[in-house]
Amino acid sequence: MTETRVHLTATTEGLEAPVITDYAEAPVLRTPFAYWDVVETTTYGDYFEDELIAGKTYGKAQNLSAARVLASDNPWEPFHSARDFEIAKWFLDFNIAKGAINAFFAKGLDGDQTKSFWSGDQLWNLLETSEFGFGATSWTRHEIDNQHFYTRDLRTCIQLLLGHHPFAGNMHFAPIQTFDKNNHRVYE
Amino acid sequence: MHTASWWWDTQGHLPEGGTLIPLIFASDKTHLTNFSGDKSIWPVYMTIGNIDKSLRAETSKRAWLLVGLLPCTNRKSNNSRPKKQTRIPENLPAAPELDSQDLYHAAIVILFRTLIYPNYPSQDVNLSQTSSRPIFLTTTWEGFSWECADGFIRRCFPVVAAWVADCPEHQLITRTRQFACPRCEIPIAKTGHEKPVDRQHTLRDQDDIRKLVNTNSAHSVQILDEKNLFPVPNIFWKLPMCNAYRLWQPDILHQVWIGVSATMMGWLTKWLKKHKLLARFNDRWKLQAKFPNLQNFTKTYEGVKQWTGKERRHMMRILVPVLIPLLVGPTGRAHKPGFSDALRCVQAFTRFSLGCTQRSQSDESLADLELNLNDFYR
Repeated sequence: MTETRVHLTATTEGLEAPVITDYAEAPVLRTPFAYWDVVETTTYGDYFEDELIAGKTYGKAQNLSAARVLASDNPWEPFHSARDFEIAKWFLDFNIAKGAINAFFAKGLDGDQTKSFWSGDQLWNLLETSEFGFGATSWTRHEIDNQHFYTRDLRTCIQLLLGHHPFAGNMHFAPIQTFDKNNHRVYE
Repeated sequence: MHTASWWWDTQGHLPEGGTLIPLIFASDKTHLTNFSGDKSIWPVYMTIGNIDKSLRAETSKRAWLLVGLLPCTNRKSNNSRPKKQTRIPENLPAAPELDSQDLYHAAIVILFRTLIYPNYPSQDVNLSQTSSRPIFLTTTWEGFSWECADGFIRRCFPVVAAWVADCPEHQLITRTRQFACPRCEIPIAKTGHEKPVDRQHTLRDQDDIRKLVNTNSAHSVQILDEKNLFPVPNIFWKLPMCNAYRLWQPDILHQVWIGVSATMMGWLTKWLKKHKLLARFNDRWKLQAKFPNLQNFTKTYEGVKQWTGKERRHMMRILVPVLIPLLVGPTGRAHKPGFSDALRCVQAFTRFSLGCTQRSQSDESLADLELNLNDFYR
């Protein structure tokens, strides 16, 4: 075993950090794990020297909730107005019970200005039917051999996720290959 | 997911202009209560690989949808003896006398029916003449014209890409026998004792297995039996471009934290007990200095009955510093046979487990993980 020689160099300011000169027996530290900087990207179409053949678009969407919202000029859909939306959000954020919501409307505390819902049940219905009618009605009950189970329609589920407007900026429709500066493939 | 090879390769099997929708499923049988009769629930969640993983990982963004609640039974599965040839029911009602395995697959058929039956396979795709790329092999299908969040219509091809579940459930999906590997043909006796370098076992081939099951002769049943498979058809073969034997993708929670780390700690505590070091190990374990991001354990390793994945992650962070002074140090214990091996094993696995949680990997870091894994098994 070779001894590691350590030189201590004294300067006017004081002692500097020890300098290790012999690395012969020092353990080899493997590459620390880190985020790999992507410097080069190949898209699927480039690879075949072709036009974009993955994730091609076939015209504008007509039925998306975002499209519907734009068409109706009401950004608060399914709520009637910003006020309705804020009231509903407040109810949900502070976990107000259905009974309390009913009492709220029964006593006219909203000044009879809320137009989208007038009771807890109506609010719940509104929320459940807001996206593609994807509430309690989306479930189907099945029975096999005296065993019950429940499913949703996978197609509707996929369409809901695929067309979910808040995800728009974070969707990928075509495969790519990414490389770092040493030309190693990077997987993210 | 879009930077991985799987998407790139699968895209080659789609017609030109097609958009792949990778479906990711997750399911786990969960025990709810012992009161008012044993209540369990078996939820299945789904998301799509098109959504960026930063969104998918956030629970508040609701990228996962609950798509099904599978039947939970106390029925025994006929796991030990070879099964009779049974047909998967394609329509309700199902054949009687279903055991828990058949029930699971029957429920999966119903869950997937909208993807398999109504339009699949519909018409031939006439894109193969103009293109030299491989056409869709198992069945030709049109794809769905679905609207995407960015406001455009795309021609979408949903494909089941991964199923996140524990090992017993994957044995259920692939219909392999208990303790057998769902992915490859390693004999049960050899599992857990092989170095990754020596991996020579062929991966299960879906087409071969399908042929053998369809043949249904005494010879084919025997071959399937040797491969630890039940001679029954599998619903996942019917899903386009889906390979049931590759659905088990690396899963850090089940395989690394709950799986190997638990096994390794079992070995380690036994080994420390043998060398009369366990008391000192426990003392050091409990006296861990306080530091942000490090959990302080008030109980010893053996004192805790059930570990969560998060606790295991914290455990791996402190394990090496706790262990090192016991094995190397002024007393010269390192010269005892086996000490350096034990340390190297723990260090390798720690490096592996912390490295594999990185959000992005490159060829280089993957090779590193492989090295660490080989070190661990040496």
